[in-house]
Amino acid sequence: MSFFRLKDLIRAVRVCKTAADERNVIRRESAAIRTSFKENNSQDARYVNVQKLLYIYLLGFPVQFGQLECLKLAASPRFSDKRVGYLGITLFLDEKQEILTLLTNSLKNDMNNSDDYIVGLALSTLSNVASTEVANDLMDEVERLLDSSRSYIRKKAALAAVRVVRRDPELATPFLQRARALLSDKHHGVQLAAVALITELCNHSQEALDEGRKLVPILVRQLRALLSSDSPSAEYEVASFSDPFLQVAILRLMRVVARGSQEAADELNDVLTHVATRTDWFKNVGAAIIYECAVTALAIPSEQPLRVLAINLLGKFLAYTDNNVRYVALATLSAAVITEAPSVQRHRATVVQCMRDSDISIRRRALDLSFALINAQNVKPMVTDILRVLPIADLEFKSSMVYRLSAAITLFGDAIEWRIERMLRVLSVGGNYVNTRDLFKFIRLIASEADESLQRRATRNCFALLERDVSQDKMVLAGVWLIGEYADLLVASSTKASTSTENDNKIEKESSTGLDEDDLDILGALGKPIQKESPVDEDGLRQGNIPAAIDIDEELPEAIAEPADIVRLLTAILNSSIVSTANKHVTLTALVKLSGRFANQPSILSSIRQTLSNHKHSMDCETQQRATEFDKLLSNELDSVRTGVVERMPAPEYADVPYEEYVLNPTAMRMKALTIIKRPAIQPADLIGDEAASAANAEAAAQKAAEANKQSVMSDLLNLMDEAPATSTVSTLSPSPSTTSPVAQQAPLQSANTLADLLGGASISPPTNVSPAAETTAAFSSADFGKEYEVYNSNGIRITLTPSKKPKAPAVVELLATFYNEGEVAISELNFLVAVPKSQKLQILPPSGQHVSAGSSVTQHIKIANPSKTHLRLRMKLSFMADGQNNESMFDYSGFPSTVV
Amino acid sequence: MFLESIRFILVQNRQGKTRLEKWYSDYGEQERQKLKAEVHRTVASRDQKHQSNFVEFYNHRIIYRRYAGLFFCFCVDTNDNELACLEAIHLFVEVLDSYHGNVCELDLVFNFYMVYAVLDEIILAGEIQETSRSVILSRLDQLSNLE
Repeated sequence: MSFFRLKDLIRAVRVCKTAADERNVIRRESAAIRTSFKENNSQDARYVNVQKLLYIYLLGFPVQFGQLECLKLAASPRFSDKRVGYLGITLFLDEKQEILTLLTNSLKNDMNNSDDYIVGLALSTLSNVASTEVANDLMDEVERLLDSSRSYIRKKAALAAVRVVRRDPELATPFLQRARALLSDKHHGVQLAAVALITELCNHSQEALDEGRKLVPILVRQLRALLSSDSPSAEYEVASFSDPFLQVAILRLMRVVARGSQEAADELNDVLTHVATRTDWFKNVGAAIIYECAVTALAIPSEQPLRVLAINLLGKFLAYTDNNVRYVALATLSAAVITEAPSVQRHRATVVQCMRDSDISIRRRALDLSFALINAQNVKPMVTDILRVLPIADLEFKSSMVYRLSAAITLFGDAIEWRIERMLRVLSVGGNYVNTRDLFKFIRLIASEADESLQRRATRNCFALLERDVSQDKMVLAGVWLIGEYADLLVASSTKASTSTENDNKIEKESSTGLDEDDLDILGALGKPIQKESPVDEDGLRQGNIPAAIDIDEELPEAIAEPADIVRLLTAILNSSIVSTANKHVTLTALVKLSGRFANQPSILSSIRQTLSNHKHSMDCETQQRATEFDKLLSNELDSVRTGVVERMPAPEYADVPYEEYVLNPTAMRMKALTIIKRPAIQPADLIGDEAASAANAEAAAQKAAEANKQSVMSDLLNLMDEAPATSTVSTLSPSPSTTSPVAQQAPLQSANTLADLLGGASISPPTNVSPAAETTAAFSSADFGKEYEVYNSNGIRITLTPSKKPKAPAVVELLATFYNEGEVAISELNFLVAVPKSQKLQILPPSGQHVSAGSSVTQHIKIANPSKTHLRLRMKLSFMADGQNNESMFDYSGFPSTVV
Repeated sequence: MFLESIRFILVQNRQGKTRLEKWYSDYGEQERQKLKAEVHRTVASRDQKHQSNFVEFYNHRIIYRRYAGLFFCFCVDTNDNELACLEAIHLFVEVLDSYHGNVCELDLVFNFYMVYAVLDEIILAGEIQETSRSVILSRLDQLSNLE
């Protein structure tokens, strides 16, 4: 049965109690509509049926069978029929469907209709669904309608043109010629559409960008007109702002055309300052305008006062009560900190405040920005502020916080005492989140320090901290290791003499500093009552209620322990149910080391053996084995061996992998892909700026070297061709200039290419006919494109980049990134980000999928506009989930041949 | 392929029923269904009082606003002006409100095809087309007189 009218159907669906009822109703109705389509060819019936199908579609049921009927309905001469027909088309069809080409004809007819309303309808439909073919077929109509006398048609035509150009950038030229006229249109809607169209055109071609720069005076004039209060057009006013949408759109277009052009930036300086100072930002609308203005001011090579003004406005946003405004401010400041560090630093206090915001996304951004702000001057207060937040931070932030804290402390902390103290705090609060590498760095730092008072202090801190709390995994690991290693320093100085394994020198040194240490110990002993007061369970450990984190203003507790206390603590850790098995293994080792530190105290030795024998029957194989072996080691017959075995470890000698500074500001890559351009005169000492500069230098040097090299290779080659066989070419090549810069790696590569090419040519023609350099470049550039370059291979994922180039866009290198999953498990949430030096522009398209099952691959297109033809250098960040683990890595690649530009 | 500044627009109620969907970028049928479900999950679970109206969504950002029981969600590029987008949502709702006279979810259910007509007058090809309430409303009146 059919319900006949749309309203009846909607009512019938609404009274359904269950989803199953609803499905039934829809199924019956769909069947009825299908029959009706077959039997009844009148437009009236079709009109009702398509309307009903639209409703059914909205409910999420399949309606593909109605596609053709929509097209038929759209061909009806009646406006209301067309309207429903076109609505059906825009909803039911996507661009890939062949049926769309059938649409071309009816759209073409309607765009030539004498009725403006029908023309408008056709333009709307075109703007919504046009595929590349449809765009090509109908662009003449669109172009003609741009000159329509009705503003209503003009603005729709301009937006349809946006769609046409998006689908096929090669169709841009005719629209470009009309840009100026459209922009000067009286009607706001047309201006807005024109701004969108020009923005789109400028994104596609350099030619359009040059044309766009000529429009700057018009843009400035229009923005000023909007700002001046004497000509407000009331109908465009939003909360007393004159057409804020147009203001925002113009500001954005200004950013596009003035990017990289100092001249244009100078022209805009006054009007931007005007917007920034005169706009009232106490409303969302005002904030939107100021925000756009600030982003534009930062993104173009504007003058310093304007940039500072922009940063200060964003800084003010941070104190604003609206979450949305704070959100955008933080995101923009994170990107801006790269070039505007000093101005952003001034808002540090507000940023720190935002780390405690009630909105998690604001907290996340505030954290990112806080880390990005850390430098050698403010590292102490910043680390303190972040440590304050660490205990209450969201679980998902903790591991990255802890990692970046370790990096910040290591990179910028100068005094080693301070670094150790802060790391201990990090461990005691976030010990479960510290990664192994950071932990080893920390231990290495302490172990390789010659000054024993540091080790003493650290060990005493650890002892006190472990007495309070053993719930932090890496804290336990570090603490237990230190206690085992430096137990002799942990005990009060009077018992120091009993350390038999120390050589005389050391004892002397210790006793010489002994007095000071005693004083310190008295102070440190304050920490001791904590362990006595705190209620301890039978294990001697607090396990249930974890004590509150030590306040950052408090000193870290320090404890001096009797040897018996140490054994008691380690035994308690071994018996604890919350300590991981791996940590227990380390604890057993620490315990046996104590036997060396307190070799002349038989009571200690016996209690160690007592504990060991308790674990000989452990369920864990490794624990059992260690306990048994260590027990044997402590027996009398092995006395001679033992001293050597349990002796203090020498400081580790492996090379330390230093932290990269970008660890602290990966946000610049992740957040707004805002290319911030500075004036060349004021080059700040920033990460990316330096890189671009050094890239340029290296590039220049590389070119010189390559040129020189090419010549020598050529002359070598010419000599060779006369006398030597091809095999010996290798030997003439190898003594390439051995400089230390990347130049050295590039030069031989290039010369090798040259050589290969020349040899290739030589086999056909005599060597005297070696073509000019330009031709050879062209020849081997084509060979270098289309090859796969491996940029990353680890964790079971391999990434290759395949550069290619389209003839119509010679300045754009297209890279096809392919991600091969070569591991055992599926990869999900794949996220790949790329950054390039500032001279290049980057566009990353979405990947073909974020999920890669084992053995398969996905691809992602990356476009790099490289007008200056500089060497491609990429910094990439990869993150993905595999086996429930979140993996992240950052890496650089600059191994493309220098022809790939 | 270059992508629209507004990728898609969804209006959903609190139960996740979609009341309006408009796709400006090219999404296939399956993808659309998936996105609708995910947008609802992402947006409805957020704290409406204490959180911003912006949420990261794959490589894009969803700007949403709740009016009574309805979520108006715009999916935009991360480089777009979020605050201005929020304003555009508000404009859309204001026009709907004036057009229907105190709009409610039921109006959208029974007059869903009119809602699309309203949207087409405000946003086209993923770009804002017209920002004046009076211009839009007078245009809509003319159109409904044709029916």
